[in-house]
Amino acid sequence: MSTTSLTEAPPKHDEIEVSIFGAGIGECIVVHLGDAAWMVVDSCQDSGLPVALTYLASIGVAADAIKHVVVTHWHDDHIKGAARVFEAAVNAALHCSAALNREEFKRLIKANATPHVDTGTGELEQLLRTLKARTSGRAASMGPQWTSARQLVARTPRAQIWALSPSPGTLSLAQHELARLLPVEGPKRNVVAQKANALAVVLYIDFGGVSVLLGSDLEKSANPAVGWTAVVTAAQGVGARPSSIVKVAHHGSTTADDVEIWNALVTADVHAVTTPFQSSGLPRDTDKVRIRERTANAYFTAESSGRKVVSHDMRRIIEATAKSLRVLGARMGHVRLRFSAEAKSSSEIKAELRNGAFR
Amino acid sequence: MGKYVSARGTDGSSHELVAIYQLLGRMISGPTSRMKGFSLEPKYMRASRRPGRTCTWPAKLTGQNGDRMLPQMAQPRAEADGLNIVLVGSLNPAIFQPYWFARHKLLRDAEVEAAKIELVRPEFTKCTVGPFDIQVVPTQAIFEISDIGNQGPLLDLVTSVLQILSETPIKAFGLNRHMHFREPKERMDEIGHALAPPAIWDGVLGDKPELRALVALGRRKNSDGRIQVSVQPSNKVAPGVHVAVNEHFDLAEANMAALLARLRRQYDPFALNAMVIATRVMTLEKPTS
Amino acid sequence: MSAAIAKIDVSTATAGTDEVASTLSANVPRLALAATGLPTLDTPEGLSIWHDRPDEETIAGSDSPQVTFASDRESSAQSSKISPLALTTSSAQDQYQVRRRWRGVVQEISEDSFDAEIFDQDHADSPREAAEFSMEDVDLGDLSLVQPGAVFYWMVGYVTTRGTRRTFSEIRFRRLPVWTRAELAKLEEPSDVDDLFD
Repeated sequence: MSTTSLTEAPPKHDEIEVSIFGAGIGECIVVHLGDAAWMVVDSCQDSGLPVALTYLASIGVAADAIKHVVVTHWHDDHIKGAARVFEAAVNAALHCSAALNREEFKRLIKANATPHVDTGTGELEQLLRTLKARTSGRAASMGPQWTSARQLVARTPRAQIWALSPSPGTLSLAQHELARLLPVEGPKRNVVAQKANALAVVLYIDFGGVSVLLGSDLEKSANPAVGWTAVVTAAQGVGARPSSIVKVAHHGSTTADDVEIWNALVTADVHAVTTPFQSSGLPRDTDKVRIRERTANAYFTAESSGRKVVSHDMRRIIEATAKSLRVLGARMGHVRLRFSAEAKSSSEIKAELRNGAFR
Repeated sequence: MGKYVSARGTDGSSHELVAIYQLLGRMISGPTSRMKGFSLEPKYMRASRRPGRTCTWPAKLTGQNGDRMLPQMAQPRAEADGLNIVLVGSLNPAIFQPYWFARHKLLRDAEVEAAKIELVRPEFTKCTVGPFDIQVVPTQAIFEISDIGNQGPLLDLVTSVLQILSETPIKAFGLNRHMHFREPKERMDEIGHALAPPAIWDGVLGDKPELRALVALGRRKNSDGRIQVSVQPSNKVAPGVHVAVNEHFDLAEANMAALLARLRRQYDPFALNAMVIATRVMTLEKPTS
Repeated sequence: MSAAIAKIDVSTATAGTDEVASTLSANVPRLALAATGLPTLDTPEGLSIWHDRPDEETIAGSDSPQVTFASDRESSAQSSKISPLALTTSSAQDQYQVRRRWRGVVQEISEDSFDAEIFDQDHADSPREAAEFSMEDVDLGDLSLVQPGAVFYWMVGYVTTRGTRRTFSEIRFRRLPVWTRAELAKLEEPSDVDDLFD
């Protein structure tokens, strides 16, 4: 398996591609499902534009080839630019976590309209509005496809896409999870991304020979009805085989590192890709060591800590006040994994690293 | 048109701004052949090497190819830079006492305790609390900061006051930014001559006519406000130039929600545009095409 | 609440109408466009009146807002007509020169510090930055506001006080009216957001 410079040609019709992007703020996965059908999972931006759109344009793929847009996470920081992707993806279905189809989440969106309040729902609201505008002429207006564990998200000639979360237990807890984010009498504050992981959508894509696990930001839990324990149960329920590619959950943090993922859900030589979350310094060095011990094919799209600011007007007073000052998301790293639709094992997967991505 | 940089307001929103080229272009008329193609840098840089030169020129604003941009040019650094919001309507000056702000937790308790109260009467209130100077008469209120760093907190304060006093009839509001730039006399003369060419005064104002003050009117793109720019010698930094920009907004009806939305929408673009105007005046540069 | 900020009973204030009037007129030159708290220098380049329309309405709404410029030496008789939209009332002793400023959002807090993401307010194309701040740098009056999601302003620069220049760095947390019951109740009312969901 080689790590060569990226070619700008699109994948062949019978070639599968999983491209994972991450600069340190959010992440995006662009998947070629075969036969010129694409799926975009989450979104992040590079120089103000959604990386999914710029990447597809760079390999000559039109946005209308996107058939599915999946938002596994609802906070703006995790899906920045998703609305723009969906607007361009005129043929795409929209998939969201079923845990969001609740009154509490609607109230969170309504709260976002209050001046000076940012609940992080702007992007998702725009997604829903675009969908509504797109479907308003139909006999029955359609909302997104609400996705939960053991649900077949989509089927194509070469792939089956399953959701392994949110579990029934998570759906039961969703009310509580969302309610604690709602405003109460008192100071107006924003909702930060770190508090919004429990309702994430984990995806399993079965290509017949090779399969892919996209772990989103789901963390583990002591409660077997939620978190990764519930995902393992769901995976068994849909007959999932160990995956040869995994997007490591929650930026490689220990809070998402369930040993059952590595024992039951992925192969021993899995291609494991981790995107950083630089605001929290994830993955930490110990996380990287741990991931590298689990598989020989560990990749990281960008550094974890952000780039130290080296020059500033008023440098001394700035450094005297801010204990550390780092630029986030400076470089959009890209790990691209391609393999034949007939491939049967990890060894047949070709990995390419770009723009600072490293092993 | 020129190269631009993007701008972001205090809420993270971006705003599209266009410098008032036509406005200031009308000011530079008549025999300006010596101004056309005028290159600021060589002559000015020679001046800057003379002893006593104090004005600093920070790095140029760098632009990316975005859709909301400012002209690319050296941005002069104001030695004093203040901002105020004026509300015109029917007000009760006696309300605006420091304790009222403390009760609504709009200011720090320590700042309220250290407030400087000049007068609180039904007809007139004047006090300074923290970084804010507040002056209220029955027909208008002025909330002012003397350093642009508190641009965001000033808007927060005024919008909070308006939200709490939501029944107050306001019929107009004005935004004002006052920038004072320290400049040597020679540079002040250059600016004065550019804004008002002296040749027109030949024979009627003696050998050395001087511009004392200039006022220009206009409008900003994407704004329904009226702009007034004044340029005159500064009485804060001397020698120096005072560029004052104000923008006036009339309200068709007393609708607090509409007022707040308009104020929030226009505030940051106004402040940014004021700096664009000041930059044009102080550098005499036009954006590169 | 200390006596210093006790509500002033205007009805019993000793200042009479005349004093108010004199205060107003004394402040009129301060309300003029270019008169600020610092003394005007005694130079030939002192400010002079450029535009004076004594017969026109002074309050905002006129189509031709008047502008008068008054120095402390020349002002009082001539600056009675003031555009309220071209006023400055600043009486600051300190002269601030803000060089850099950011808006920040608190991400996580610990006992003695907090992590935040900050955004340069003057260069919107600057990338997002992360910084860690000590709680010691937060004004005591703002400590209760330091919570995840709280917004603050951070500015650095120079301040000149009575001729002495020094650097300054200030963090000020945003203060807004709190969520009211009415605002919270409104979130439960039907709106077009409900139509976005199945």
